[in-house]
Amino acid sequence: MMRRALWLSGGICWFAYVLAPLALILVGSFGEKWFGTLLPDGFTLRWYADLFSKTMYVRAMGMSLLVACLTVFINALVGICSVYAVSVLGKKWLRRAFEFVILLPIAIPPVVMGLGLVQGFNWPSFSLVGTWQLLLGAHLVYTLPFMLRPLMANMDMLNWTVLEEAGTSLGATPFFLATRVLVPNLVPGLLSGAIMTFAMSLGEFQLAVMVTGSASQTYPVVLYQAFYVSTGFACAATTLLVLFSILSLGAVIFLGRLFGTRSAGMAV
Amino acid sequence: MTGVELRSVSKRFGKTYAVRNVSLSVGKGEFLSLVGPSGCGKTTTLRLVAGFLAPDEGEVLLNGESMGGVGVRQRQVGIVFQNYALFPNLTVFENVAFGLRTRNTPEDILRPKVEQLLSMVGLDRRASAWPRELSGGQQQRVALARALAITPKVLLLDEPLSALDAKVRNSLRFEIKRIQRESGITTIYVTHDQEEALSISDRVALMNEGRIEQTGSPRDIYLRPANSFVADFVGVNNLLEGEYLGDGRFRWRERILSVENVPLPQGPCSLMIRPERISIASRDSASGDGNILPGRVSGKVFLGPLLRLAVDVEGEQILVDLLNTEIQPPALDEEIRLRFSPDDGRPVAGR
Repeated sequence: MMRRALWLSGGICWFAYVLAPLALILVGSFGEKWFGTLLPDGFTLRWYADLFSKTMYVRAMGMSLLVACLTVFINALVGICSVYAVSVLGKKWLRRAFEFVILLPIAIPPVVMGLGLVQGFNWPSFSLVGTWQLLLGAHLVYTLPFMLRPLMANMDMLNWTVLEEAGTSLGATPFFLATRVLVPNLVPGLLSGAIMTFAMSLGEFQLAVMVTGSASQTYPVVLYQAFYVSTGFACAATTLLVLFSILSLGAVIFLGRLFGTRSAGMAV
Repeated sequence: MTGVELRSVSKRFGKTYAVRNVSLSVGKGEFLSLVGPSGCGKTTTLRLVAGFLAPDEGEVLLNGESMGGVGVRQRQVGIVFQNYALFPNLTVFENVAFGLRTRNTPEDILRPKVEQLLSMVGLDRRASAWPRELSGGQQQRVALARALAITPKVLLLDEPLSALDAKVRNSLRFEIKRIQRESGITTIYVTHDQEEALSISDRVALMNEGRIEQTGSPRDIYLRPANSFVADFVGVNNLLEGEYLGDGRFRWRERILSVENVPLPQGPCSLMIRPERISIASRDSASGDGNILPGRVSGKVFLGPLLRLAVDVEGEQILVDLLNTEIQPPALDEEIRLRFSPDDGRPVAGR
């Protein structure tokens, strides 16, 4: 009885706070007018047509995807190298220091980080503020912990020192070992890290709004502006972002099933 | 020609010696076990041979060639680890093929070779399985095949059976021995289990505190331990601390016992009497040329074929193994007389 009540109230909360707003936005994106009523009036695809005709939105989506993909890719490389180094050097203090350093960006609010970046990279002769590269850097730092966590857990399960000794005694070079053994075995960690970092970068607003300029605006930034245009338009723009998130999530999970479960034997 | 030779090899970690002035030679095709308590330096010795460590002093030779400056990758040694260390992302076949792949072996040579190795370890039907689908014993067979695939100069096994349960351990022990004999490969086997070492090896080197205490055939080590440490390590022994008086006489407390006449200097040492060589003398029999020790039964353990008695002799506990065919075993607290012949009491150095 008690358990069922808990499940029920949990379900209601989830519906009220997660599903219902998303559903309303989806409905709103097809409505002609939405003012003062629970649900919008009429049915139209106008907002979507508007969205795709405005280069600003299309470009911003492209920018977001570019930054998110690069963030995942670079963080994956940095992540693999870092967990390898920490595991191979095997020093306790190094691991502690490492864990502390990767926690720092979580402890510092993005607004603070954004302010720091704007201050730090804005020199009169040469300013990085307003470029997408600076945003990329910010996202790299911001999302790295979420790539490192699953990778480190993955690496801890591997027992790498012994695998490396076994491989070396069999004649494998470090490169051979890295490509044939290390990376394939880190696929599960890489995938969950990739899902996290991609989603975080794609939806990140605070850093983007402070660091980017008109040419490098990402989707969440223009989305925020969309609410000043019209409700239906904003709803359509939001739906598109959600759609992209879900699609890319699905793609990553699909890739994980393709490589991860077969090679490393762990479901993602 | 020797397969492996260590010449006065020492290895320090910080200030402590893990291996101290060890010289050892293993003949080609010989099966040698390094055995000793944990921390005795046996694994360090193995890693020196493998090339994971470089000696601080001395030199390691494989097939007569000095390995100074030769890395693990170039040494061509096959290693089997305690926890199997199979590559989880590769099938059984690819695990065994790994060493050949690093050497860019063409497929038409690689395939039959791997298949032959897999059938040698009895896993030819599991070639496409993943390591995690195999039992511990099977995984260790794969690891053995993988190590042999590179036709190593020496096979090094580091406690390969200690992660397995007793039954598997026993059967795999004989299988390792069979494969080693068939392939005629020089083998060094590290274990802390003296029974394992004695049952599997051509020769045993017993290590303690970074030194080799004794090297010899299992029979030698068991019957003629060089000192009390070896005696203590290779079996349940009764070691009585006393004094050797020379000429086959040993003083223990107030008694003079007649023992084996060994070339040992007079002075403090230990007398080793194997539990299975002690019998119970009937109440009124004369001692003859045997030694008689009166005592009281303080404990009894049933060990299947054997009955082990603990007998209290003047405050010293002496173990006695009787075959369980004995008609009437003594009862607890019964006063009995133990008897052993002079040939079965062996003075050994150290106490």
